Amino acid sequence: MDDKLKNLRESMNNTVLKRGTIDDFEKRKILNAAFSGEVQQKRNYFPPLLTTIVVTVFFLTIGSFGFHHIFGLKQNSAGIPKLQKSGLENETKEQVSMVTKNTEDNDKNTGENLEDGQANYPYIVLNDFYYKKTNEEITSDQLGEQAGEVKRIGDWAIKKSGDSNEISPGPIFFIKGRTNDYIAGKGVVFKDGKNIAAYLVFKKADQVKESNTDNILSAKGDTEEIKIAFQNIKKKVGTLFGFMNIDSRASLQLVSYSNGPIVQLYYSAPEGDKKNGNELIQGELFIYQYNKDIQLKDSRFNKPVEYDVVKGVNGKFTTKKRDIVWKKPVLAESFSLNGISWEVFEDAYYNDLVFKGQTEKYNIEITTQGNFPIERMKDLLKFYKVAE
Amino acid sequence: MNPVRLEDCHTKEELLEQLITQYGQDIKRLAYTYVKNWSTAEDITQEVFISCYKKIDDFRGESTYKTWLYKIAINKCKDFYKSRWYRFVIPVDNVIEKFTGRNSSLEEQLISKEKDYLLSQHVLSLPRKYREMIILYYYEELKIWEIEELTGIKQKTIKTRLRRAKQQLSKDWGRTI
Repeated sequence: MDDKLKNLRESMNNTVLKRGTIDDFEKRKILNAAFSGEVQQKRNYFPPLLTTIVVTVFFLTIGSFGFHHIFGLKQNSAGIPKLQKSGLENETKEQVSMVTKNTEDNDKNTGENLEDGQANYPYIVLNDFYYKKTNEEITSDQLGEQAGEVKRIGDWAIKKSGDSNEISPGPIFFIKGRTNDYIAGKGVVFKDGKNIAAYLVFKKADQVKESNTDNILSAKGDTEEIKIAFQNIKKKVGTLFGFMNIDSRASLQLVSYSNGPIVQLYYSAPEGDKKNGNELIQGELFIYQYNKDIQLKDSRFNKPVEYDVVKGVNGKFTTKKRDIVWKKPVLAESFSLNGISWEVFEDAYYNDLVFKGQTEKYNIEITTQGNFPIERMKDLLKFYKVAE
Repeated sequence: MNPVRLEDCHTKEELLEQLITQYGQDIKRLAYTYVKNWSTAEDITQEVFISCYKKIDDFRGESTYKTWLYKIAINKCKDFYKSRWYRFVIPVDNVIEKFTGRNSSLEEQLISKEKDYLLSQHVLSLPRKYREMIILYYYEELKIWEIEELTGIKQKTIKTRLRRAKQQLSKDWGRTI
């Protein structure tokens, strides 16, 4: 184990910590946060809100129950169980059975827990069925045969066997002494103030429905969804440019139409990989395509906005726009390829090149990360053309 | 990369920028190993540098900037565990991925060595007090005394936790290989 752990840094950086890089944008965000003294948080307000609602409803129900019991009123309201039996014991049992019944009702495979055909609960997908997370945990000695494997964690438009939005990739098991409607996988639970690993039990629930792929306009991390999103955007914009037939040199990693009609494409291009000390900077190409009558806010030809900190009379820090020394990128070269007029600009502020392409209708702006001198880019741009 | 030095920077802001460039990524990754949630790790990274910027004038150079920043980061992560938000935060990454489609697991599985991935997952699945030691000792490659300085945990306890963490990892590893 010691030998394996000696390479832990490399192992983790290549896998689970791969997403931990900080790009220029995030660096600016941290700087702005430091100057303003406020974190731009993205915390999830849904769970505490849900808890508050559940607790409130619970107390209202109990309160209503107590009120009707004390004043001897019969309860006829819909959704509230009959409480005419005498004695607290019976009523308590009734309450418990009501809770159990409701839970069972929720577990029925009615499809009511699906929103637009997608599960809205924690799940594992196995053989075209969602397995819904229960509140149960088991120990490793209760595990039966391996049922399959969680292959990816997240939530995708197109569900595949091995997807989970709850547990990390790893084996999933049937449970000894239970039907195959129950499976378990290793996850994390919060207990006694600690975050501990445990085998979480999932119960077979809804059938996975075929997704409506027409609405996929942004995708990242799934080759199939990226292709679909690309084709859907193409239908929307009419003419969409991209690197054609050079998947090994430039593979599409992200497609976004979230700022439509501006199209955003990120390609990974390993030939531009660059070493910076021990750190590998991966070769990437960032592309915007937009109509000529649209102003691109994030264009390299706009002056970037940065902030300085100013200490006020009360001793508190406030931010002030920094008067930065910035010059528009300077034209270095022009050429034409595949009906696109390209201009290469040297951007002194970011110390790299910007490639601006123009057609009759569109502007294209390409920036890079890694090592992409003009000649390499020219060679790549031979394959940048109207998508088929 | 040479350590950041105050004398190389003209202003406090320039120093901060240098520190973010040099240590921001390490801080974010360290925070993730504690909280196991990228969104929270990003928040904590921002908080670390907010504290750093506020206290930078008080930094006396008794340790390196790296040690100082790590100490702030570890304290922020531990503060986070104490906060009410902690119990709600576990599924946040999934929620974010739902909206962004962001996912690296498949990519990781395809590209990276499976064993690297399994080992990393086992480390992340360790109880927090063991995970912390494995990360600081093996991932950050800190000496036992440095871990003591950073965490305030006695060297004897650190060694015990490291031993138990390795036992747990060997057990988990044996089960999956």
